[in-house]
Amino acid sequence: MRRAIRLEFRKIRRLRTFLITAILVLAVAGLSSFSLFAGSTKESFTDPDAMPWADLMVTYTLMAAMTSPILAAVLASRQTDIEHSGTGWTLASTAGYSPGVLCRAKLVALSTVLLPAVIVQTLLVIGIGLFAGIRVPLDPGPWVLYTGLLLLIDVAFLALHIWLAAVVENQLVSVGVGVLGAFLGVFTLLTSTAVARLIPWGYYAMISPIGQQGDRLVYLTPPFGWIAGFLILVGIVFAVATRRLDRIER
Amino acid sequence: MTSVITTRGLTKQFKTHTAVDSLNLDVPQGHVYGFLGPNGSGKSTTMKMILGLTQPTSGDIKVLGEPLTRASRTKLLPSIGSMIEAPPGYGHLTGRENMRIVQDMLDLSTPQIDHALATVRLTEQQHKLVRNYSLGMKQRLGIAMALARDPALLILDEPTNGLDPAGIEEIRMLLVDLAGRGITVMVSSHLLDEIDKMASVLGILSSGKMIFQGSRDQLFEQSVPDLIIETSDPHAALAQGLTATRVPEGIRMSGIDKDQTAKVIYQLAVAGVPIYEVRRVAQSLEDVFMDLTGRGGLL
Repeated sequence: MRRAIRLEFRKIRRLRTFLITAILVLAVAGLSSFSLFAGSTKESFTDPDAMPWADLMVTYTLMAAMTSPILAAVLASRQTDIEHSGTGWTLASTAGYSPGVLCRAKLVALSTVLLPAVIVQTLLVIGIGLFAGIRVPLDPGPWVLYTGLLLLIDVAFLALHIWLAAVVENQLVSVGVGVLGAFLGVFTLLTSTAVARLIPWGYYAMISPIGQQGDRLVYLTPPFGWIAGFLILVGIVFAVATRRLDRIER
Repeated sequence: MTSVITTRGLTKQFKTHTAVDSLNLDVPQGHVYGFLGPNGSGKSTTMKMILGLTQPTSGDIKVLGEPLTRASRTKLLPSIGSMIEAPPGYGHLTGRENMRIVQDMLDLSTPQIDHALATVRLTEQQHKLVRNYSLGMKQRLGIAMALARDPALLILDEPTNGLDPAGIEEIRMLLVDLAGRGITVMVSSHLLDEIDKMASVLGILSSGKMIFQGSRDQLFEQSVPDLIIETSDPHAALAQGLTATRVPEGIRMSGIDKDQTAKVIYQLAVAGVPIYEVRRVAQSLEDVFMDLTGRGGLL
């Protein structure tokens, strides 16, 4: 498996994976903090009751829900499509690497790319917040929690998109599902948790540690049980689906 | 002759269609085995089963003396180079980078990669992106990928597909050279001409069935060439009730053996039909192939 992962890193070359990830990270960070530079917002930067960091996190959650499904779909699609176009499935099979092994290796390789990307994305949002002038002390807990959960949900969607891109040769399908997921991710931020937990992309909303009580923003504990259940379910589905891929005769 | 590949009763059935039907294949060691058949006759499916890429519905496969199983496949794969259906190669990488992937996959040494590239004469083009390769270069890269592991057996599915005559000749010389070095080569094609000059043993598949297996000479023996009877009075010859067609020089008869030929000549001579010459049509291997595949497994 370690060798298969190393092979995926060899294949990443020239796929512009790092460039695409960097552009989306910068876009999320930029769009999340755009409102910080509005004159009316600046007044809240020194008022702890105005919760400027929580405000910033709400925008960040929205932008992440909007872009993360697309990023997962695009990265997975690019890394998997090369196996279709380059007869890579057959090449690997004749060297003893089954399609299932390739898919699992792709997941590990792309997750390794996403890990620093999501961390940098959060740090950029916080950094821009500080640069814009937020002087209220930052409570790192919700930010660390959200970043960790965002990474896990991103990995889950990477897994689903790798499988989809492997099964359906037309990559418009995988990317199209990612775009649809972006809409659903934003939509579920505006609906109740009961609805969000039933929609896979709703978990981008479920992991938000920010909620609203009346007119006020409050920090919440995300529903860990549901989130863990979703991640375990995706893990099982991916394990079974990639094993079944080995039986597909191309 | 030791067989490197042996199949017995090999069958592959897809829902309602039998792609390969009770195939008994014997690929002798150190030869170029030409695996011929029209498109859709089951050549690729057979090769995929031999490589363990497709599971047979029934039958046995022995490769390099070992029955092909899940366990033995892992052990056998490093000794089998292959190129199935389309030449592999990641277009966004250079030829060299593609070879590095194969090197990592199979734990090969750098000299092995260099040697494989040199064998297919891609050393100078190795740093070009594969997407910018011509079809011939892609085919050669695919062969280099198969060759890099120094295989005992090379299985190539239509390696000359889409190549120009010079490219075909180049691949042909390469495969003959490899066989000369003791590598058993199984090569498929739907074009007989491509195989004719390199294969020492032929297997002909039609509708999933093996209709011939043996040497070129044995193949000729399987087919009776048409008989031309040169006469100035073909009308009188045809009036004798013979199943024949008119040709400029007289009449032409199909599928008649030596005894039947003697009887026809006697009959015409008795009837007073002038006979100037009786000869067999010079038959190309292509004619024999068409004859056999056209008859769809009657042999």
